[in-house]
Amino acid sequence: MSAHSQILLTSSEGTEFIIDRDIADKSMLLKCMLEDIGEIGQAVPLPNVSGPILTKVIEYCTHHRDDPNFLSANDDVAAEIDEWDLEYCKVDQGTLYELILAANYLDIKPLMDLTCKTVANMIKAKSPEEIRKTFNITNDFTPEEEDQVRRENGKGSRRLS
Amino acid sequence: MDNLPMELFLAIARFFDGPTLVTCLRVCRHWHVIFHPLIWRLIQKTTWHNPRFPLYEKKLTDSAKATTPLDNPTLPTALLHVNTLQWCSVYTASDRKQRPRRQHSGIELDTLGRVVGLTSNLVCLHLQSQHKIKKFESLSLFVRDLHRLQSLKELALMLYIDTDTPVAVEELFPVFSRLNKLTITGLWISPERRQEEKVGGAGIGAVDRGAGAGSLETQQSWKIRSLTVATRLLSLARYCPALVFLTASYDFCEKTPTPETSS
Repeated sequence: MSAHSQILLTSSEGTEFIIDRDIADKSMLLKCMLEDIGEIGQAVPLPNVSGPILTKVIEYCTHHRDDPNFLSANDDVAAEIDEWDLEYCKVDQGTLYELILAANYLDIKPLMDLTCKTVANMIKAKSPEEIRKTFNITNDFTPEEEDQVRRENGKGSRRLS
Repeated sequence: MDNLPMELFLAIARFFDGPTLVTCLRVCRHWHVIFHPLIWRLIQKTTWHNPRFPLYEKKLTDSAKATTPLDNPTLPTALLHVNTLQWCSVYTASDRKQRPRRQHSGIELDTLGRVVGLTSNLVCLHLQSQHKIKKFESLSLFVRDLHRLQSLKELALMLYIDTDTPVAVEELFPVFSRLNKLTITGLWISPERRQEEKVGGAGIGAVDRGAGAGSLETQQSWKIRSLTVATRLLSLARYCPALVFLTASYDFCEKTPTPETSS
């Protein structure tokens, strides 16, 4: 049974990771690749993913390995994040973005949704100034522009809600 | 966050609600550029009864400063996402007196023609005029715009139009052949043609003449299931083999207004 076979992955630094096939299958990229070329016993290089991030991703996939709803697309944007996932996402911003990039590259939709939702939650219910502070963004609007943008969109925020 | 590629920004924005999205527009220029097109996603299914946002009509007294929202380059892209458009107060520029009292609650038919021309993904179009639109010259242009709506499934035209350019119902037949649901009332024919009809005896005659043998084949493929017409246009029903709902209403506008007399 292929579910018991193991896959060798190498991160960007060349660190090797051995994972079970069913965990690798959580990533659409790896799944399709393994289905196409078969298991050739060679390491699969992942030049876009660093070791620590790959560890994080494998941690996520391992936790959800027996999750039957893993791939049923959860499009409910208001759905609550479960406790483990919430704890999982308590990382610094840099790691979070790298996780998004890795989830995107490896095509792991639930992880992608989780990380994006986490970032979205960091933005929600904040003022523009608070958002700038959170993400360390400098306000490059001129005062006139800022005034105009506020006039155009200030009321809109209430109307669109 | 700056090193995230654009599509990942958009992936994050999927989880935004309206107020969050609007707040994000105010963060910095980069965010403004990225998130601004998404605003339109929010109005995708909006019924624009009160079209203050985003298509308000500005009074253009100085033509040099003519910047209507339609000249905004983001609008064409935005309108591509709109699939339902309802407008309950259509008027023309010449109808100064009939302009709705509230400046923002109506739209000029010429503007509407441009809007319709831009919304190629429109599925449902619902237009209604409260008053009779007088002397509308560019009706044929508007009809041509309607022809371009390839994905249109529902059309409701309740426009009372008086026009010199003869645009008759049969000119819209290619459009009708795509529809599931059609509502058409009002004066969709020129005064001359109306005269003709009266001479010919029946409105049905006018439709019949337009629907020559050549176009009969296309009419047999009409998929209209729900039809609401003025009695004058009732003969349209026989081109609809799949018809399930039929509503015929008396066309009050046909009647010449008579002064009320007490009896």
